[in-house]
Amino acid sequence: MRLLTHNMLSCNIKGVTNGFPLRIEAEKVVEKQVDFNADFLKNMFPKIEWKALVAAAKSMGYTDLPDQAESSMIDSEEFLKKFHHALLQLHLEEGALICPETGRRFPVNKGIPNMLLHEDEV
Amino acid sequence: MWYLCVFFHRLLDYRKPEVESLAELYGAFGDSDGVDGHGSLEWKLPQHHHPDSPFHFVNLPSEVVARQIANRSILVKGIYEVWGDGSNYEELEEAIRNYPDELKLPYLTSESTFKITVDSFGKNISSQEQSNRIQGLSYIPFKGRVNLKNPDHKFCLLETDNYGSNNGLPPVVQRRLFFGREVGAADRKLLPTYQLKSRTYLGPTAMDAEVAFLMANQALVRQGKLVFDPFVGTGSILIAAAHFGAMTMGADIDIRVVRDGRGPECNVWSNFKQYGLPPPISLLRADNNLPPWRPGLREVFDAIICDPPYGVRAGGRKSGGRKLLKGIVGPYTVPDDKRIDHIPSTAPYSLAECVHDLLDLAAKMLVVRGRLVFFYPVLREDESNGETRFPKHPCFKLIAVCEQILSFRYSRVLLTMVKMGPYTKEVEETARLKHLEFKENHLKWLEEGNLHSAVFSPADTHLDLGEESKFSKELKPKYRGKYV
Repeated sequence: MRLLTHNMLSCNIKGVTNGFPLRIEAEKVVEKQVDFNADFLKNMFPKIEWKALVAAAKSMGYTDLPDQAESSMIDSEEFLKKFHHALLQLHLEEGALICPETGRRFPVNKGIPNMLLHEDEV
Repeated sequence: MWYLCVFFHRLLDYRKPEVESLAELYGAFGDSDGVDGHGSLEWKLPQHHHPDSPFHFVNLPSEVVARQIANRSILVKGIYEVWGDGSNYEELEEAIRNYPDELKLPYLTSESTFKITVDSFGKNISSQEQSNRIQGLSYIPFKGRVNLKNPDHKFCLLETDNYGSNNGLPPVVQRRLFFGREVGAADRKLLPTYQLKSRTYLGPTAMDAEVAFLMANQALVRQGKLVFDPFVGTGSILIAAAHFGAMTMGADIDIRVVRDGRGPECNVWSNFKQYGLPPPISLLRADNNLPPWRPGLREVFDAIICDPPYGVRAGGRKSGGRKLLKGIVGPYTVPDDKRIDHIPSTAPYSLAECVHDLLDLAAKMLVVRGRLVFFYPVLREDESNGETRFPKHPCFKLIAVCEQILSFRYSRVLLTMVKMGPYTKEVEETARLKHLEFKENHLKWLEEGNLHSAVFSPADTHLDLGEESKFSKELKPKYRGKYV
């Protein structure tokens, strides 16, 4: 699971209002190479919740992202490279995503998060 | 400029929409897609030709655009700059002689290489006769050398004849001949490379490669775009999107299909590896009926392309046990020690609710002007009564409907929709109420319009419709069948 995905997910159990961002419990992190595409990154940037991305990257062991980001920064190649690395190249193979409100664990196995809700959460 | 567009004679409904989508992709319409959400091209039929004919004249802004469209298209066999056409060889010669020299001579120079092909529709021309036809063109001052393998310029002599409606071809009243310079042609290696029969990991509903590429073209897939398939299965649709350079993402409710496949060398990832394509940047197990997206997430996908479950061969599932939704049991809590590997029960997901959720997802998550391309099943007897109604949504404009006949009883139509406006509070509220309505009336939705039983009901229940459906079959041209 990449951090782009993580930035889009939240815990949607019935009644939960504060399900984002999910805390990452990392058991196995890998780095996977993805081709750099500046247009894609520039399109994605406005849709990303930056604080959540920074926190998630730290929990995966990557601390190079600036704590705050503005749209003027996407013109910098250096920034884009760091953004690219955090967003697309850090990969959670095994672990879990934890709901900040209820503590519910969404397991991540073989890189795939299981976001299905149980019968009583529907 | 007018060009002759020669199509492969298959999937007739898909041909023009594909060319128009590709024209838009390559900038033929500039910035003006206006209120319609898409541009459209001018088309003309050759004299005496039927609309289902493989030959159409199309007006394109430039040779560059024509070449780009032809090269990427699946159904365009070739696009030609016509130097002459006529109903016999004398007329053809006169037309070619009259075609301006300044448009012909640059392609006939002594430094260039060329090749002439003879192609025919509705008849076979032996190689001896083809040779004779080519010799008959000697009035054209070709000065260059012939190169059959890799010529600078390719020319084609096309012949259609009056053969009536058979051979899977539409009727042409009189003979028509065309001679033109090829401006672009389809990449014929594409489909053999990606055909399903050599794919590592397949499922029962894996999308045929040809159709998957058509869907990707309808969705204007290109490099730098993000494409999502909410019913990803074995990834057959995303493969086509990845081939055209997009980043892909997929979700499925069945974790075994997505995470495990049939083993470490036989799963979604290995499919992408087989073709050297970058794998999806994200695969997840999710239920579209209760999606895991964070509440404020909007307009992240450039295209959503999918084949939702129709409930005929493969039924859809959604969260919530069958008995739970029917009210037979109350909501129950899974004991903590059993939670880890618990596979939540799922219930049947009616087509109506599935499509409602898909439209809601697309309305939220597609960028404005982004495309939603998906298949929708239709009963063929509904069509003959003029009853087919397609899903609608206030944020979307339906711009193309392409039918593919699957059997005597039913077809599927590829719907192409463009998102015209943002996801407003009203739209959100309407969707929320509809979602609750589906939940409360779970049983009613399953029984109403049950496609599965309509398709698989035994033949005799259709006896009284027998005469009517024969009549309606007569209206559809005979050559329109499963593959055309």
